[in-house]
Amino acid sequence: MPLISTLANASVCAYGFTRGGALASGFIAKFADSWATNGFDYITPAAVDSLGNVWVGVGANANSPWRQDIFKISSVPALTGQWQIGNNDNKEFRVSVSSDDNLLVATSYLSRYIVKKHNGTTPTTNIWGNSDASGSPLHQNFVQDASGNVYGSYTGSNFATQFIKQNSSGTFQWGRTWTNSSGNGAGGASIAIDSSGNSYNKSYDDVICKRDSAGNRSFLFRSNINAFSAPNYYTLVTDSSTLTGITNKGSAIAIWQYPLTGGTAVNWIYNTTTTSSMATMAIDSSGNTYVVHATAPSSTTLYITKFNTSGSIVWQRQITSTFASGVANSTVPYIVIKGTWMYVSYNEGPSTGSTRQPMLWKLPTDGSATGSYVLGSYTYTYATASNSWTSTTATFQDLSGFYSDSSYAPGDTNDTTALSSITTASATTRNVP
Amino acid sequence: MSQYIDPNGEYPKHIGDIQLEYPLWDETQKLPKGWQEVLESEIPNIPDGYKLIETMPIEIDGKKFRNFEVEKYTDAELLEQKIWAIRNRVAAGQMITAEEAKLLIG
Repeated sequence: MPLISTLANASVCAYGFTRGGALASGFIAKFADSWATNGFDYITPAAVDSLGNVWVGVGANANSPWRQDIFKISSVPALTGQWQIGNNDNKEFRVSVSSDDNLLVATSYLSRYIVKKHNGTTPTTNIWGNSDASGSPLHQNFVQDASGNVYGSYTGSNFATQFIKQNSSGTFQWGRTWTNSSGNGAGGASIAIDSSGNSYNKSYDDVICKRDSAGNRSFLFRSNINAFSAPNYYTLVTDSSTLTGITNKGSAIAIWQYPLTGGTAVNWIYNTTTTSSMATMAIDSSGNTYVVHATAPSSTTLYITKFNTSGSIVWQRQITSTFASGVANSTVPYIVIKGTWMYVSYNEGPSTGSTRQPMLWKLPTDGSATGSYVLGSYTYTYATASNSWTSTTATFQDLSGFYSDSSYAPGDTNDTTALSSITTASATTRNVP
Repeated sequence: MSQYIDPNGEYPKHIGDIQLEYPLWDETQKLPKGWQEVLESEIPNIPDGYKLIETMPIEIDGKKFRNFEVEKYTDAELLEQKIWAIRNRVAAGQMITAEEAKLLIG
């Protein structure tokens, strides 16, 4: 189970009431675009602390290189903080909240992969930071286990997959790099861990690698879904017994579930009536799966679908707006579940051009709160969707002999540059309903 | 996968949609008044260049079944798919041709 999911219900205190009113209402937040020069925004998945504050990052092409900012939305809702990482060399990064309520950030700068831990109350205060000076990191991602160890994955040279474990103090434990027989073709960033310390990592060509807590590889496999290669559009999640993955190709969205001990895939689900793009997912503490996707490339609609543990659809919803071209489906939408709330982040507006806007929705996981909501000059509608889904069964290939795997000695560079507290952005927010 | 028609004739609806109106209802119980279950049916073969379309359920012997048809992709949809494939290659750091770059710029 990833960090965000393991924190489920953390905002409900021991006395049975919620603190700070954070769970009282859903909201919509839309970030102003004033800090970017051409509007090519890329929003991250949201992270939620134990008080219900929501943290999210936005990479924006302010100039070259890209600029990366972090935002904090309080329970009101309102934008209550903005911090700039600095001018970085990659639009993609990730934010998370540690089990002790501090902010973790994984990013890149000058061809280094960097993970930093900042005080969650005053993120300008560093707790630790470390960087690996290797390759040209892309698609970086990370998760944290219950002991505070941080597992990071990113694309290195020739699309090799770099995989690194740090302990809760930020000290590197081990590193691995893996490529296929032609020396490239790996390079994924999807990552998950289970409660036994095993990690799961996806390559560029949809191969999943499992490692034990010491970094030793135990098996490689790939489903027969034959998804198109899309290293950063793919999600891996574990619960107590199953590894779940999602990928997509053309008009298909496929979800497969694989027993953690190996064996036969549980199921996969095939979307048949929308040309899908960049589907990602999350799983709640009851095992329900939530999929978010936009249709490609000219649709104006974002779809959210909830499946139960049997693979049946619980509900289908969609978000549309009167803003520009609706959802910017050239960027990845994300969904995060915490307790009875889901946090959906995406960019709206055209695929190209200067009017792309980062959006964040907090909505109930039961599918309620449908309706039309005015935010600023635009109307946003959250309503029932009518996609057609059919299901079939997946099979898996063993690829153990195809990929090379080698130890990798990461650099261990102390990097504790502080976040800059700034106030150049604004957010328009409203409660839902 | 269970799918339903609601009392207003809207399709598809799902378990969670029923439970929003009847929170204690589950799949082992009789459907609430006005709701109809839609049963699975065979998916037709989908030739290359075609897509699957689901229309309103059909009734056979008093039961509702899902109804699928195939429809040819339009030229605009095929172009979108081509552009999308180019975007993915760019996102993965792969080279594209000048002609493909023109397609991306539009």
